[in-house]
Amino acid sequence: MRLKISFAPKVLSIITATQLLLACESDLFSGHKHSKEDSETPLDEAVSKKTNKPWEVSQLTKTKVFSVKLSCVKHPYVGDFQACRLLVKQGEQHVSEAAISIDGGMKAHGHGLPTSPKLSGTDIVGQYKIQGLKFSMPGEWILGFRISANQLTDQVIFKFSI
Amino acid sequence: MHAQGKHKKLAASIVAVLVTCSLASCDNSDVVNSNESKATESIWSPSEKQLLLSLSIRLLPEVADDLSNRYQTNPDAVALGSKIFFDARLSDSGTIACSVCHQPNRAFSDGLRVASGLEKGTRNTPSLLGVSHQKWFFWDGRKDSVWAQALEPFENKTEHNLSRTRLIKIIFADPQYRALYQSVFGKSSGLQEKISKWPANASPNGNLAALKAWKALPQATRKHINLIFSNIGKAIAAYEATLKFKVSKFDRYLDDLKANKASEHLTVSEISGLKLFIGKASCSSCHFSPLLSSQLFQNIGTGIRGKDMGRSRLAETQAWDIFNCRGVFSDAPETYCKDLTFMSKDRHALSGSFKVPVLRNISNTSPYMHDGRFKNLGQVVDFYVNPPSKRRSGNHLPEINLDKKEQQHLVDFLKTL
Repeated sequence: MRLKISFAPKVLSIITATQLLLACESDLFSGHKHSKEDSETPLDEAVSKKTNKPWEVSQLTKTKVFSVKLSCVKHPYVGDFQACRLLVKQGEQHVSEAAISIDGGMKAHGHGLPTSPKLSGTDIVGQYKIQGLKFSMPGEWILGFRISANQLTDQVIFKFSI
Repeated sequence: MHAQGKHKKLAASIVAVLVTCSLASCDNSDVVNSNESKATESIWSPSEKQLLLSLSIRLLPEVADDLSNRYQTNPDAVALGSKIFFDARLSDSGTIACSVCHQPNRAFSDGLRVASGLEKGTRNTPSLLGVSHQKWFFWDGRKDSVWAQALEPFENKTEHNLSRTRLIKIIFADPQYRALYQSVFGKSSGLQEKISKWPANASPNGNLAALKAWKALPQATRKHINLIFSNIGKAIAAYEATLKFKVSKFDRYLDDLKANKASEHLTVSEISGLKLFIGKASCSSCHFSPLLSSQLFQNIGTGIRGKDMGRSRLAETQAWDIFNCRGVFSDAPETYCKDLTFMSKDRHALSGSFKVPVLRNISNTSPYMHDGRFKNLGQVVDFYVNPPSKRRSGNHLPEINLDKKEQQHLVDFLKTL
């Protein structure tokens, strides 16, 4: 699961206050969650709405074998496990029993994912649940999937900012 | 091997398609002008304010949930744990208690470069304040609960150097301990007699004689010993859950910020440091939440090859620790143990990584880093500005440009935590 990232250009991660704000909306601390429930200000609400909004991105795999939709209950955030699923199609057909591996990381910091997430099938044909996915800090992330099904293998990489 | 190859190809492809990130501008205007008012509203943008409020200690619950320890808030467990914590009899020499390294008047750390029990250790002693809110324990995170952490020093030859059975025998020879133990964990008929028959020194982690004695015990006896041993850890964890952070100057400033009041709790320099902390110094990338720690692991280039590269050396073994969250002595359902289940075990990726430390109370917990290499916060900040080469250390740090004045502001702010 190691992500090898070269450091040709020196890159300084841009961490905006907004990104960190989203990061700190995580459920890492139950007390945090409770306090939000207890006393939400209008600003809290605005942030919660943005953070809690379902998030999805779709993309073709590298050689266009599969189309893939990554969807999460909330926009990716820092600190807790993400609730995300992957929908895989080949043409118009949903792809069942695919073997899918996951990798990712931050180029700016030169590290991979902080955990070892895994994918497993769901009751919905072509849909796979991602378990154990976490992000450790705000910034630019990549998340890649290698998909093998029907004697074909291809990969897709999503880029997004937390 | 095939799967690894696939991963490598995938990782290489990921790198290949990456778009080069744009360079961040390092805007010195972030630093508060010395003539600026202390009125909190004029200093922070709405998003900065919201971020800052998320760092307040007011957001921490009294005691964090630990489903792996059902006794965490049991008053008798607290009393039992407290008695054990300060009891120097529970060591080979009769001179080392938990409190020798975790001293109450030093924020439950020891002020030494590295811990010193029966022998000199290799790592700096972390503070125990707020420990119940944390996720991983020891600098390399090799334990996943406070109670499991509390067990290891008893058998470490540089710390207490006791065998498992000897520890239990000393505790159960004391009527006060027996009464407290039974009130927490229940009475067990014939327990005293059973304990008296156990070998004087038997332990899976002891010397050869203790290990042989341990191996000679029936499996059920070993399990019984481990149960009592884990209960001792849970009692200590219950006591340690009572060790709380004080409300800091920073928190009082956040109180005023939340109330939109002008604040006298931070000086202009400290506010400038706070601006840097959440801004171009990038500290809050890893040091966020009320603990000011991600509770994850990062390589900042402090590992020393051949000596101590942190988490990498234990990644494979932690999953098999009988005292972990999924073990038979944990009270948690397996679904609670996701951090353990999905932890990274890649020793290469983890090389040089240590736990991101909590920054609260940091001015009282010198020296700093896993090996206590820095005596003061000025040295720590200077390290981040002038880190070891990425090529050699593989560190995860962004480039951080701070002039001397800014470094001082940051130090001033850190002292308010």
